[in-house]
Amino acid sequence: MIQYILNSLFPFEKPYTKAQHLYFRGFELIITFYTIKYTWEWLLYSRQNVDVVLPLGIAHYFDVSFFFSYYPNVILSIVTSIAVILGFAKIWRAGSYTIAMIGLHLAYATRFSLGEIPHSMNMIGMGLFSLMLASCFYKDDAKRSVMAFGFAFFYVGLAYTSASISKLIATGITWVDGRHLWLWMNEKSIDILSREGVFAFNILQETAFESWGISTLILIFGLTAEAFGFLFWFPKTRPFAATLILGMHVGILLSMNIWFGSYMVELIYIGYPWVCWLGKIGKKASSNQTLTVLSNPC
Amino acid sequence: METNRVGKILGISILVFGLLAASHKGEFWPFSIYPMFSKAGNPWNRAMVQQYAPDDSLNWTMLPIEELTGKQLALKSVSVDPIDFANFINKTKVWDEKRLEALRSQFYRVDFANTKLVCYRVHGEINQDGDVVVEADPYVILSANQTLVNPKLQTEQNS
Repeated sequence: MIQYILNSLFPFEKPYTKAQHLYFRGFELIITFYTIKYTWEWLLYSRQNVDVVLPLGIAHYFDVSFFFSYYPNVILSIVTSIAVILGFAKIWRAGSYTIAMIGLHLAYATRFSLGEIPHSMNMIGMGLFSLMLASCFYKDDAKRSVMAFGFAFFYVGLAYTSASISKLIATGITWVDGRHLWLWMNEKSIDILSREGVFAFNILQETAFESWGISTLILIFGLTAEAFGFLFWFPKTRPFAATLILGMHVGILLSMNIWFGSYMVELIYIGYPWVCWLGKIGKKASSNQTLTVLSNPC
Repeated sequence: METNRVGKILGISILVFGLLAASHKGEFWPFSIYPMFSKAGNPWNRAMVQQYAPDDSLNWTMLPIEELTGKQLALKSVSVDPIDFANFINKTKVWDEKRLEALRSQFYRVDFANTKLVCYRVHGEINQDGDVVVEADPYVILSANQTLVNPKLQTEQNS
């Protein structure tokens, strides 16, 4: 079984086409973009922090309030950004991605030292971690690509399936009781009211409040979608798992106003066999020679 | 061959993940466990701020949220993150001068000449009838020249 999972995650025997190379570069570009975006957003925000309320990760050993002040803050932003750009530009990739990973971790620990522990950017962190490891072990793009994608697939699947197990351990099967959704919708409504000054429930929320059954069904769908997260490990079931998870995130957005933007981008990008699909389109559109040459029919 | 090699690296990474998450309360970003929404049905605490006229008389009564009479302050408009603010309100154990100063400094963009702010802890729970009840508990009042803490908080921290 373990061998089957590993073969599914890391198909080294598959040919590495130009299309797959472009697809991998696209993945690196997404990670590079979000690394820069988050580094600057987090560190710019943390300049107004005055106290470390909840130390996270490296903040247990290093006083991240050092980065609240201007120069350390700007230097960390610049170093992390340059490092990830160098990694993308294939200049000292292993070292560059490692520095970017450390920088992004420090930026996260600095920004979220006030008590909030968001998970909506974790997949970007895991993506950078995957690129860092793959760059440390392989110089060849083909193998780097297989290893990086394999790690990303594995940790996406693990995250969701383990989240569903957490729910069953912490609450049990009664987790799906619709009243729990009512409680969470009220909780998130206070966050939005507090942030925006106004709040109104949408149609889905109103419907869920009116019907315990619908509310329960929404939670059953969420728990089921998470439980099947491990299907992300296998090429044939990956699009199915991606669609379930994306559906769940749309449900979370509509019912609880929680938006996992970068998560969704990454899931859409790695969850579907775009290279394969483009290959089929390329074959059909025989006049489009560029697509035919680039693509890899599956 | 390559697959087994990478499999071993994956195994080591899972081990590192487990060790770091277990020794850091589940969080060593991006290594995280995902316990959010695991404990269903538990009461929750958030926070919000309402504005009142400087001469409004206020008291420390906890009220259902729909009975509050102040004007809601959009924290976004004063560049305060609502989640950070909620954590600040709910995780502060001792409301000493430093803490109150840190709270006040978050609202430096507010013109206190024309308003005073009440920082509420908002509490939600499912009552015995299975309905959700949401109540606001005034914690701190910020005015032009005063920062007042709900007396019950001082009693709690002294006891």
